[in-house]
Amino acid sequence: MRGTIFTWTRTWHPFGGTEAIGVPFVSVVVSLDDAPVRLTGLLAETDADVRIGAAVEGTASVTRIGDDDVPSIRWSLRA
Amino acid sequence: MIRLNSATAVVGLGLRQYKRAQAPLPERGVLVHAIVDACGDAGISPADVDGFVSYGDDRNEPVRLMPDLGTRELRWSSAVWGGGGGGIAGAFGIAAAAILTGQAETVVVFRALAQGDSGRLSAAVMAHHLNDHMMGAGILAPAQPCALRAQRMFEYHGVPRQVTEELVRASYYHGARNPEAVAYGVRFDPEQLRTSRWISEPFRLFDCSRENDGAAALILVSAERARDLRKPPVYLAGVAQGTEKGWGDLIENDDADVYATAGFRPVARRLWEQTGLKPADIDVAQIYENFSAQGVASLIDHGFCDYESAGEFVRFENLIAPTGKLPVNTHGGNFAQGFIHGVGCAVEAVRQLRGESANPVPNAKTCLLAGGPGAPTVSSAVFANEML
Repeated sequence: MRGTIFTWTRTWHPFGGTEAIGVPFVSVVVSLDDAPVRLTGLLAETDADVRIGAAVEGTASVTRIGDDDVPSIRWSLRA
Repeated sequence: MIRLNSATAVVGLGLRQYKRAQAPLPERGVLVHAIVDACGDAGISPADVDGFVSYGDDRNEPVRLMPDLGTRELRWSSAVWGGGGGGIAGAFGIAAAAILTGQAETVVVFRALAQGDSGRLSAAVMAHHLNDHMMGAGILAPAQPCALRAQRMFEYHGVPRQVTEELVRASYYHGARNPEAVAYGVRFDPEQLRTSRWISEPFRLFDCSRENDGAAALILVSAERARDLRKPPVYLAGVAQGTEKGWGDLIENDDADVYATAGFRPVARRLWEQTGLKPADIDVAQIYENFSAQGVASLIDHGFCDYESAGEFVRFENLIAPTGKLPVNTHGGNFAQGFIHGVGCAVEAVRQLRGESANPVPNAKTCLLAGGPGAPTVSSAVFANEML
């Protein structure tokens, strides 16, 4: 699954429920290349110089939130 | 059609504010005191209040207030949908609708919060929007979705990041001069903001509002009845709430051209149509800022500036009383006065037009109130101290 970053935020405050992710983490909203839809997820590269418009590729994953494994997409920057 | 314009007026105010989790009474008790204060301010008996309107999931069902207030007859109780602060201005529209259609005579608009009873406001607001799409991306607090919108406003639409500092500085300038503000007497150094810890980029700590315990109550009656009461009437000149296609709780799929807004475009359009006013006719504005960028986006949505001119318009000198072009949040706003889910902004709108503000704007005749930027539904109102 491929797309481009529509917007993003890097979270530094350990909001309740995100403990298992660990800070900082980067949340992205991705515009899909093949469908007029945006999907959310975490970006694997937490320290990257993230930019709107950057190309990303996503795979199915889970995010640990509290005591639950929430199905989610893990995105990575494409070279 | 019954016209809203200046047919109702705010005639009484009550505000009780405390540090978060430090209210001396349970939430309902704080609220009852605020309502009694507002009735005293208006010169009416609390027993005569027959209508109650709130917003943002307030937990104080009006019927439970009746014994303490001595309410004779409860004729109207309602609230604006939505868990955020987007209903603050719309609540006045509901109150006016009740009065102008003869369903109630004396309506209180209120909001009460005490952490010991209702928990953290941020958690209550976010509970409306949580789903696996958001949680899977680690998005669990209001700062984060607002940060996503802010990032787009800065990086894609090119609004200079400096504007948020200008807004925060103006809030602290006013708050430092308002004895009722949490920032009263505080000398705010912009360097504090620039070096404060990141919360959710692009927001640092000082870009975020804080929460308070407390309650506020504002009494609305018909303009005719307002003439005989103690305080000068502050008329509700116009109000609009809601949203339009392409904006809402859409899991970040809002239309691209409105994604980075605060959601006010349709509301502002209706407000200006309804009142016949335009942004240049507004003398002072109380803009609910949950987060700094959303306050700026509210100003843009209402037409005070646009993405291109925001850097020029949103400057400290323009935003402060008494000399600014558009003094904003003259009580200190949610940042520096206090945050009881934004109801302090409504209180300040009325005080400013009565000449009771700690930071008066000379000869102010109109005041904009904008609530809940970024929420799925938002609302705005114009108040005036002359019939428009």
